[in-house]
Amino acid sequence: MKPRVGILACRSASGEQGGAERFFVGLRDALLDAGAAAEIVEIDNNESDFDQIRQSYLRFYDLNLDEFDGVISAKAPSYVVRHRNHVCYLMHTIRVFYDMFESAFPRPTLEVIGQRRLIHALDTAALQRPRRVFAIGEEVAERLHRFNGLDATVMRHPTSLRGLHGGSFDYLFLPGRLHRWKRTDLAIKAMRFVTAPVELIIAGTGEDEQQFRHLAADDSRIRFVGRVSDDALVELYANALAVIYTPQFEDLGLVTLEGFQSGKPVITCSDSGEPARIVEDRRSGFVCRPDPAHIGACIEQLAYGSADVAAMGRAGRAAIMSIRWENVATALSGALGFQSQERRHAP
Amino acid sequence: MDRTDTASATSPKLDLDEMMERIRAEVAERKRQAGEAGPTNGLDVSNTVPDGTARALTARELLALPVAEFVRASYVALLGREPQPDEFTILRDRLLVGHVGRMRVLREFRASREGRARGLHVEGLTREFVWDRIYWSPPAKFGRLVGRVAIDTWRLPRNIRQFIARVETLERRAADAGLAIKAIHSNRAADRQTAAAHTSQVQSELGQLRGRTDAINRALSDRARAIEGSAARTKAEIDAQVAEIHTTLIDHWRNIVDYKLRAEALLVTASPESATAANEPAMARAEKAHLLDPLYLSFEDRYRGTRADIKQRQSVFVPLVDACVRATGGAPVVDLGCGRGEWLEVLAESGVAAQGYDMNRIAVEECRKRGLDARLGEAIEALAVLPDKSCSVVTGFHIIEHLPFDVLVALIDHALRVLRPGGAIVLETPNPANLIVAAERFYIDPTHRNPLPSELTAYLLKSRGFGEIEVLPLHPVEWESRQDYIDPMLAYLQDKLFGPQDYGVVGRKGA
Repeated sequence: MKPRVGILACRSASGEQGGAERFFVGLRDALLDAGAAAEIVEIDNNESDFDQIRQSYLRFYDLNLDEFDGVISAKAPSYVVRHRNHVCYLMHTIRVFYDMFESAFPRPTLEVIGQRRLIHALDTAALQRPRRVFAIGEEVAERLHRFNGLDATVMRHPTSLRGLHGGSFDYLFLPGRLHRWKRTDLAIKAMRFVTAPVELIIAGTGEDEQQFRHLAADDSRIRFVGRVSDDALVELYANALAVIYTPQFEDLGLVTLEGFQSGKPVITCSDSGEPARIVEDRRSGFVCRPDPAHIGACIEQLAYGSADVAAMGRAGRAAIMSIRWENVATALSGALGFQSQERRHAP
Repeated sequence: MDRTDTASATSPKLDLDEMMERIRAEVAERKRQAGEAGPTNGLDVSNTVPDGTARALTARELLALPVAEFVRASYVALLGREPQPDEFTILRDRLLVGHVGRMRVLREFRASREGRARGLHVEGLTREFVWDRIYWSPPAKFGRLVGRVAIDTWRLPRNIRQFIARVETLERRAADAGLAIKAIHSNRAADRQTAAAHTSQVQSELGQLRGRTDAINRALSDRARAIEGSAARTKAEIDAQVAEIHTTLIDHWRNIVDYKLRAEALLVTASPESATAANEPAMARAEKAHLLDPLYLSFEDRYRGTRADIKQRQSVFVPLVDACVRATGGAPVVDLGCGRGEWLEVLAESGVAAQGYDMNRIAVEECRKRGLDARLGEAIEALAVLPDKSCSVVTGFHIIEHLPFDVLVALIDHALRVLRPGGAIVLETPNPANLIVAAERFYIDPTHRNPLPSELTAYLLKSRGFGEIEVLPLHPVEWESRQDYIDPMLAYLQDKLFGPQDYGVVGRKGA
């Protein structure tokens, strides 16, 4: 009898699809491959205001998942779920109350400080209950330790994007949601310091798209291609000269992994969180200061061929070899007390 | 990042279940409030108790509500409608300041035309009215008064005893306080002395500290000055060395070019077809003429000024040249004595076609290396072979002071011949009106012949047939102490000593 495992996913109220949704599918497939009857349990989650956040916490707390032999939670606030066999694979807590608090509330009121205190207390109490807590990256584990005083085992997961491969080295590529936390503007401003006739292709949509387009308006080398299909995304990666990815305090940053898997150097920033830990400066890419001039200088090195692009890409690919869904599934099944069965689908 | 007020650091560990139940209560409360404040009108309003059971409020419950809710609920219960915003405000405020009582409000609502028309029933209201009336009836009021007086009388002796005891306690405390104040007074004098001693000690220590800080500051600024000074000296030394190395390099290069050119000449001499006895002296003479080429060029480098300076000075003539080139349909400019090619370069940068001539073959070689059109030749010979009306402008910077008078006149004549109508000749030469130039600077160049006053040059151009003549005083001495002197003598002397060191003459060829 296969053990039934429920993967708790959060259905965003705004209906947007991002990296997180791919993550749940990837995790489910990996657990299926490992011989567990895994299902995604999708519950509404709304973070539009604090009242909704409270209700969302309550919704997950009140869930009855007794029918499952084991439950895996990942995103805030799904880990408040009550279950006898619960493992948390932490993606992130509600970041506006954590590392993004200062930028979200430059002059916080007593009310939001109280709200932050409540969220911290809830998360700290809730995350002591699972049998084990894993984190998707060092950035997340470090934050959990810093804010909640709790320890987690770091276990990175790969991308669910299939068919990534190498190709020619033609343009700079920047995929992802167009949001100020992703700091797409840094890359756009960096192009002002680039003399090489190299193109910057930006894929994705998001809240701050208009602002970024406006910023790039007078540089004909910068091109926005909007939302693209998975196949097109794979091809865009394949023929990139390098991937630029300069978010702030990113949890994991699959873009880095996808870039490396396509054999491309990745340019990131020292305060980009996990990407800055994955990229090795000058070996598999560049870890720049969050300064357009510095990023621009690194681009110049790549564009004028003074850095060996292909060798950097190879180094990146080698560095992430051990990040595999198979390992993730084995660790999570083990933590739930199930034996991972050697019954994998053909690749 | 500010981490001092994070939950884990300061607040006590709270139980998750306890917190979640609190949140459940808060969410329920919020929902209830949101539901109650919803928009309502007319007869749709319900008048139900907040616990969710669909039951109308009783009179007792109505009277126990907070003021605002009482106002709303009274309207709904007795008039069957929500109050208008101003009705609500007026009634609430009157209740709050005590202008009316709640019973009176209910009574008036019930008795109003609207209340009677709606005829709504509130459970227990009639009973409340009756009790109210009994409570405020004269016999009841009198009864309460008698009761109060009786109780007060009964309590009087005990109250008096308590009062006396309290007075005694206060007296004791006042005495204690008096003693304490005396003690404080006597201590204060001693304290003051100690404090004064402390203060003076602190002041003297502060003084010492200030002295030491000043000393340290002085030492530091001395050190900083010393370091700055030596850095500046080092930089100046390095700059001087670089400049010297640069000069040496250029000299070497010129010598190499010189040897190369001589070697070529020797090869030509050595070739059988040219090795006639008649040719040899001419060749030797030609070679001899170029012997001093490297020396003269190094001399120019030293005294004429930097390339950038010269280009900047000469650029004042660019608008004039532009105008002439346009007026002559794009004919080229000829520069006589082009030297190191500064002017040719200025023209090239302005997009004007120009060719230069110089008799120093190393200078010509340098110009060519810069991609400029320079040719080896004497000014007068070069002009002599140019066709009539083939040029827009003929320029000569610092050449006429090198020429014998007859050659100068011939040069002016040829220039007039080769210029197209609308073209111009531009000559620049040291200005002997400046006494320092006339007495000293002019003779620094051993190849100079005679200083040429501007009147002479202008006259020559005019007399040989140029039309409009213009003299431009150029390059006054950069003298920091220059002033607008009122005294005519001082003004004259200042001009004679520090005035323009060169002048340019422009002669235009009429149509």
